[in-house]
Amino acid sequence: MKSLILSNLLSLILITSCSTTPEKKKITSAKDVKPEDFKAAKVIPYRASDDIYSNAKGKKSDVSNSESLQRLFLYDGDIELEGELGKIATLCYEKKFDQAFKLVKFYNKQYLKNPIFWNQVGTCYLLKGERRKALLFYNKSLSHKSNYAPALNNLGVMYFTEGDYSRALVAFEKAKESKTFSRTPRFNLANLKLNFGLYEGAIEELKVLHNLSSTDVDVNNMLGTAYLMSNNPKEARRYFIRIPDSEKEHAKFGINAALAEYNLGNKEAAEDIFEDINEKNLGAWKEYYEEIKKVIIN
Amino acid sequence: MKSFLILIALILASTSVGAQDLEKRRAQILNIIDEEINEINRLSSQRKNTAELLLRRAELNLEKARLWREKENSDFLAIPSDKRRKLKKENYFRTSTKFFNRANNLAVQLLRKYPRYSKKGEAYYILGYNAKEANKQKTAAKYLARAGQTTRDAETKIKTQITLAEVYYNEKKFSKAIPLYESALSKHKDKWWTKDSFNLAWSYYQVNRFDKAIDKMKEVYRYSKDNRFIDMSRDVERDLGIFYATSGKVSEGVSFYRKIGENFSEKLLTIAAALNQQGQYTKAIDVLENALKNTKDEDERIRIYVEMLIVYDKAAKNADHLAVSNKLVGYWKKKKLNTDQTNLMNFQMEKKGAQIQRQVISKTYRRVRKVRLLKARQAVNYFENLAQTKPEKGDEYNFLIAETSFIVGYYKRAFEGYKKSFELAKASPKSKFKSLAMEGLLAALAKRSNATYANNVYVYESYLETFPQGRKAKGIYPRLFNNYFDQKEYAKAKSVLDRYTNSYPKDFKTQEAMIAKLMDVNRQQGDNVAVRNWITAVEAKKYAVSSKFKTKLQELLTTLQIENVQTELGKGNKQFALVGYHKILNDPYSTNRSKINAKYNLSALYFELGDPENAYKWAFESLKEMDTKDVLRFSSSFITIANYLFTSLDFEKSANLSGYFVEKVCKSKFAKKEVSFKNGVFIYLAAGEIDKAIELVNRGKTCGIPRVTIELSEFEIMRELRLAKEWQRYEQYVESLSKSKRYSARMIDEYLFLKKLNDRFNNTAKTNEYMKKAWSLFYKARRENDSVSISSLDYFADSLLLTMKKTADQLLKIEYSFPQEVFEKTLAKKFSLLEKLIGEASKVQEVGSGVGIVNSFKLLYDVHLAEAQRIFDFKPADKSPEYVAAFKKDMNARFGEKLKQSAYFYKKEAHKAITANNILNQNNFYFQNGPRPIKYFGETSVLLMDRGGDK
Repeated sequence: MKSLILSNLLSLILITSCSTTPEKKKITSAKDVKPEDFKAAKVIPYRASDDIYSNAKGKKSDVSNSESLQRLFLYDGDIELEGELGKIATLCYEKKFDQAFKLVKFYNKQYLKNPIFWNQVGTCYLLKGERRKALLFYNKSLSHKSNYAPALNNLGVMYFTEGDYSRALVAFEKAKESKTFSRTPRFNLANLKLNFGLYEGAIEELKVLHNLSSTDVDVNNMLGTAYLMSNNPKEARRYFIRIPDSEKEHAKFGINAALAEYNLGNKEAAEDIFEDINEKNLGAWKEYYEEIKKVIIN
Repeated sequence: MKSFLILIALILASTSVGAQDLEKRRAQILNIIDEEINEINRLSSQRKNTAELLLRRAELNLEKARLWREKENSDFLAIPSDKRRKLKKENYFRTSTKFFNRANNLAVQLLRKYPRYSKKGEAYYILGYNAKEANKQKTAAKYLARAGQTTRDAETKIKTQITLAEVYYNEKKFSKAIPLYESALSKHKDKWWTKDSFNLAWSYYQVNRFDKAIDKMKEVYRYSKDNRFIDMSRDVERDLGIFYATSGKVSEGVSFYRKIGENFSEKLLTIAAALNQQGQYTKAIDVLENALKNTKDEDERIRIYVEMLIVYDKAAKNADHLAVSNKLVGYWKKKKLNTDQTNLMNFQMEKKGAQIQRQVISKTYRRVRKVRLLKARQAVNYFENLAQTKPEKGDEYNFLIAETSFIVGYYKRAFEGYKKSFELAKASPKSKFKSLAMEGLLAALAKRSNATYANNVYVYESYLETFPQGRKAKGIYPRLFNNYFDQKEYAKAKSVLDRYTNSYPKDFKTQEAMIAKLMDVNRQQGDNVAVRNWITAVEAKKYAVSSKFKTKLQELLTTLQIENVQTELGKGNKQFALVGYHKILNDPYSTNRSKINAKYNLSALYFELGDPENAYKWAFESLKEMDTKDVLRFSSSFITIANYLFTSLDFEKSANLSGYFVEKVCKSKFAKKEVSFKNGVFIYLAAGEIDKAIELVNRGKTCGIPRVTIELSEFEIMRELRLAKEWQRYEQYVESLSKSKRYSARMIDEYLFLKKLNDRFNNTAKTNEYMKKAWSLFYKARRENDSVSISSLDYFADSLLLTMKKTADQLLKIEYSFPQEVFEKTLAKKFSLLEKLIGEASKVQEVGSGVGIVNSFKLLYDVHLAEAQRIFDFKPADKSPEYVAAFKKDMNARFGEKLKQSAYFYKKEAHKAITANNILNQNNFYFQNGPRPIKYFGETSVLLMDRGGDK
């Protein structure tokens, strides 16, 4: 399912600056070196204007589009990526790490002191599964801009995926606080809290996000789930219904949306939703799916 | 008596003038005299000693004495003069003396015995004569005066006059002698007349009556041809020349001598020589000068000059002596001088040259500069002449020329002289003047007028050629070197260095100085090849230099090799520099330092080019060869390149460089050492190079890396070993870190992990051991207020929860039953267990684990709710409905509802704790308010953040 989405989305990601991956010229003989080869690459300093995806379009992932490509890939988003930073990010999400790293090697001097670049490199390694390298580059990014929210957030992601939720929580909190306003860390905080039934804290974060985007499927799903946890299925339903039905085929959206209908007494609606859930790739939801299935379908 | 005398006279007259004849004749006469003496002796014995016989005997003995004296005199004169001077004269005149004494005694005897004897005048004559012969001139004069007064015999009178004149003559009383001679000789002409007249002529000459003297001499000469007279011709021929020569009548003399077939010049020379001998130098000079005027014959002139030399020498006429010497040298050159003349000339010149030179040297003339200079020139002139006439001693004379010139300040001339002397001495191996002349040359060279390049080079080269290891050679080599060097004769200067090296192979200071100068030239010329050659030669120990100098040479070469490239680099020509540094590396003559420099710069250039591979290669290579001092100096570059390698994703290379950097600065106190160490370890771990990380940490322990950093590194290594499932090594690290104050609390997690691991293999012993260690560390952490990880706290809380669970199980297993007493006992038991459970929950919650708090609340909630339900559900068996209803009402109210409230209280408390502490526990779902737990699995939804987003 995920790979399918990715392949579909590839055509939607437009890289506007460099169509091919530039590579460093291999120096085989000192005599072949030309004076211009010594010309120092133009250093690209950190600019806030570069630190945002301003052309990302995708309603489903609306709340995080300006900060993260991750859900754009998932939810059929549309983005016009500019420059090498965008290309590196794209290649890494596409798991084309070799190409991505060639670009990293090519541009490493230009972006030597740019935290965006090194955060991106860290993410590439995290996506590649090389935790320690990711950690080093996130730290490098932070060395150029302390409390740089993306790096802090991504460290939280790293801890999260390693099961170190407490540290993840701290990292997300730090990331959130490092900026006046930060979307992704809030998103992740809500996600983490919901994971452990801390719906009140989750609602607090999610409401802020929902104010930014009422179309974001994950925000609506998490808000619905949070209200459902607080035993307020009516309020929960308000958010679940904003999620396209097609998305509810995924257990993540479907189970609790169905349960909300069920708790409101809308048994048929609950059954409809539940029956549309794709049983393949249930992943972590499998046990819960079976548990709820017994409640709704029976 | 007379007959005897006549006989004697005849014998004498008839004899030839030959010496042998004379000897023979003398012997005959002596025999005759002896016969007569014998006869008289016979007569005396017969008729006693009469006055007549005594007188005769005295006369005969006197005659005999005269004859012997003449012979003895002749014999004595025949002895070479030098020998003669050393002899006792009286020994040679004993016989004549004996007869003189005998004659004298007889005369005295006669005068005593016969005082009135008529012929006592003759006796006085004998006594006077004897006194004269005995050189008792006064006595002789006294006796002869008496003889003259008393004798009646005319002949005796004349003889007495003559003898007395002779006495005066001997006493140089020529004025008194002249009248006596004139008187006697005018009346008497015996065989002795020529001899006595000869004396008269000389007496005239002595009182400057030259004409009379010449005339008398010529008369003596004529009579000498007559056999009746003693032949004085030879004496006349000899002495007349003096008269002519000294009286200005040379031309007359010439004609006189020509007439007699003699060479007057020859005579003049003899005269001059005689005058010379007599100390009459002025006259001798006159004679010779006159002689010179009157001859054009070259040989004669030469002989005159030779004689002149002698006289001028005696007369201390230096200028004339020198002039004559020069003339003679002129003749010598024309080969006109015979050996004797040459020898004499040389002798004179040597003598005079030496004499004058001594005067030049002496203090006497020091303040009379003009005279001194004149004398110096004269001495030099002599030595110059001698150098020609005695070429075999040319070295000596040229040396003397030089010495004389030097002392009066003619330094140029002195230099020439020494030079010539040295050159000549070189040809004769045993000449002592080789070294003397060289000493002189060195002294002369010190004078400004001689200090020319050519002179310097000549002297120094000559010295070194002749005395390569001489006393002064060591000082001369550098001077010669400097002369060549100043004239830019570098090849020759180098040859001096080479020669010096051969002679003084161990004296590195001078060699260094020379090499430095020559190298400096090469350097100014930009001749790097030559500089390299020098260094190669020094390296090959062809020259001795100090280690300091050697280092300087290396540095120089390094500078040479590098500077061109560095200059271009300074101008921004990096491409040139890149190629240049590679050339240095490929050059077999490059110094190590140049190569290190090149490698370092290449790393920097490749870094600039963005070529991590080459940047790493050359940085590492340079690092390998640099000493610590340089590594520290360039530390920033190495750290930058290591960072660059990291950003170029060349993790292992970056770590290698950092690690090697730490090794190189190991013992120094350098702040960035720790950073590099950390980078190295963490990047190795990131690259999966655990062993290399371990190796670096071990190295760091010996390099003064702080303990805190070492432990941090070991902690990270431990984590990687755990991920890599290298259990044995992992366990070792855990054990090690558990002893660390900083990490012991954190090792609780690891022991718990190890316990869990060993659980899988049913390794109970290990499990127990790890549990024990984990608990031990936990208690220690609590004592010391150290942080314990949440997961560990959860674990310990879970352990305590097991106790709770047991109590809960025990509680839940107890069933209510009747009769009433049993029910009440059961109830009491249950409440007791609930109380215990609450106490145990409290202990769980003290652990501080969120999970423990939630789970303990959950258990309390579950148990209370279950027990409430059980109360609600219990119906006493075999009891009436009323009883049951009343019982249930009472039980529900008293216990069931309260237990249920307690359960909700715990649920509420749990919810509060969860929310307030953000407790991340899956059991949180149980404390929701809905009919069933609502779950959410957001692991896959966690979002990576690529951009910072909105401001």
